[in-house]
Amino acid sequence: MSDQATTDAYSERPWEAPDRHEPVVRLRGIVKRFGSVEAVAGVDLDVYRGEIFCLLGGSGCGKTTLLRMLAGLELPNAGSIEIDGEDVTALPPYERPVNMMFQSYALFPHMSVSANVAFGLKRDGIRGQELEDRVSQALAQLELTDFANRRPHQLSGGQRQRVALARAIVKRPKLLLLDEPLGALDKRLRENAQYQLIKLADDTGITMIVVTHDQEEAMVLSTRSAVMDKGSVRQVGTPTELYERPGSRFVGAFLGNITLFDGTVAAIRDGIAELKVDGLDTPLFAAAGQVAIGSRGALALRPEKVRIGREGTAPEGQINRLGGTVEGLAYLGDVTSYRVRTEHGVLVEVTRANSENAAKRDVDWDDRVDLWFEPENALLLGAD
Amino acid sequence: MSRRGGKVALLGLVTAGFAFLYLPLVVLVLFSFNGSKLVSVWGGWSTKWYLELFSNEQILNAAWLSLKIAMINATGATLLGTMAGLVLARFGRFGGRALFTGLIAAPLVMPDVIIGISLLLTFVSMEQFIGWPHGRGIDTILIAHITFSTAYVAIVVQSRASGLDRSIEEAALDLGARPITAFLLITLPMLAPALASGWLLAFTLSLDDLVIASFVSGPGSSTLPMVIFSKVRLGVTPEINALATLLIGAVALAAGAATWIQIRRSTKA
Repeated sequence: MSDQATTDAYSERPWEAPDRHEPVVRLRGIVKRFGSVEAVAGVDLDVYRGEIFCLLGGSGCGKTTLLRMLAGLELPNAGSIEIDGEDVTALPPYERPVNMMFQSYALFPHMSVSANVAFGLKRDGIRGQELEDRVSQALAQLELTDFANRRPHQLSGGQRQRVALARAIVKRPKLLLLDEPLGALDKRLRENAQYQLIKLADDTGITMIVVTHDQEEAMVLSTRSAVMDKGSVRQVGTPTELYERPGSRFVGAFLGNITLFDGTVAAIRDGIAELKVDGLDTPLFAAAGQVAIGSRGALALRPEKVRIGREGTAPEGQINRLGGTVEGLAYLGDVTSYRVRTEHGVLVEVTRANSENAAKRDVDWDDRVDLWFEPENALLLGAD
Repeated sequence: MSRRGGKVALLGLVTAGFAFLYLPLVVLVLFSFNGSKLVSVWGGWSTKWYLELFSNEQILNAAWLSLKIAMINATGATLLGTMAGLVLARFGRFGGRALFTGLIAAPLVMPDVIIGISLLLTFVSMEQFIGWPHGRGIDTILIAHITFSTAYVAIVVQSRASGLDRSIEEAALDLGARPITAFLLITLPMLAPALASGWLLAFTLSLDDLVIASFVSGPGSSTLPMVIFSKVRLGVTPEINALATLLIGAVALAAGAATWIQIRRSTKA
């Protein structure tokens, strides 16, 4: 009883308590080979109801192949796919409770917008008033009512994207697959479409798996993301986890900018590790990840976690400090980005929010500067 | 030279080019209305050759036969050629694909005389061994025409099909359509322009063919080109001019219709 009460008291994140929640999608040991190339090399994933789950990775990492196996457009060489408790590994696409939005949108060019949206419903034998109601509801949901009778080629890119989305959600699938859903939109449209997608997930409760190569998009959209590389999942986590606590250099470098200082772990005290950095006399301190004393490691530092000031301005008592020279400077309006070469030759990226008028620069090209950061704002990664 | 002079020169060149292409046709059409029996002598305007043409049983029968063969051939070749074209465009790199492609395209480059002789030999030996076809006639002309028209249709369909976005058909499957439904509702309509032009191409090829038909036709199955050719060997008669004029009109009409359909599709579809 009390257990039940605490579960209801706050909405628990299902992936934090996998014993109390059944995943909607369960992938086990998925392998897909094309000839001698292993496109997907043993993937296990659980995705829970209502999630927007991103498969994030560079081209050729296997994310699209994984999505196509979920849709049934490719069959895995090994492993099993369960959707809502049902094993669908061998089911053809037309028998799966899954719909997909294709990267090219794949709209039927010879059909009107409403016929495109009605196509899937008609295949289920839905006719008459119900068909009309559901099509017009989906069109209204994506603000397409005025374009119902247009053909795809008469629409703008943003409108086509929404038709593809309407067509994919109208059957109320248990799982919606989206292949680079916003990739073809320009920047301004993309921002709107991101929030529209989140709202759609909220309104319909449909679980979504999104393939994207754009880490920013994954950060905005996802409840959790899987970072993929060479057919394997490197790390699964919420955007915050992946960004603040990457498990490996690969993940850290894939999401956003990062500066790495290689060295050897000299000591660990209270969760803070002391790193003897190669080529540097004074040690640096960072939150210890999965590292042991004496092992090789890398201190990972995000640009916005580093403070910068003219030489000699670093506060007294700051244990992490580095001297360097400004090699590059880019004023981006909201922030200014600096590239600082340290005395031991590492290029550090630093960004500083321009919370005050930045017209008079206190740090300029070729200036000698101090860099400093709090140990808990840096992370020590294993050597892989 | 002034800008204006350049324009005049350009216009002259274009006129010369079109005259080169179309003057013979204009002459032919004019002489079809010639009142005189002698081809080279102008005897005033007259439509009597048209009347005479329409009372010439032999030419009318041949024309009707040619139309029938052309239509059946176009339909058969479109069916077979579409299948071959889809295989070429869709089935990836199956074993023997290069050979298959080469074999499909061979009739395009093979001289008509060789196709004709080879088919004639085949028909004759088939009749000896399996007793079919009985002699030569409409059947054999049809088989011969479909054989080479299929190649043209296959090429047309293949180029259209490889240009189609594969994911459109996948989307249909994903939305619950079985493969056959996806093919009928999605693939076929998208291929329609290629099927139409393939059909028209096969139709014209058949209507136009003299050489192959001469080899594989039998008594009583003379196509229009064969009849015209045999008549012309005895001298060009004004009747033939009238017939040719009608054919030009028909072809122009068909070409115009095809263009109109294309334009309407591209603005509406």
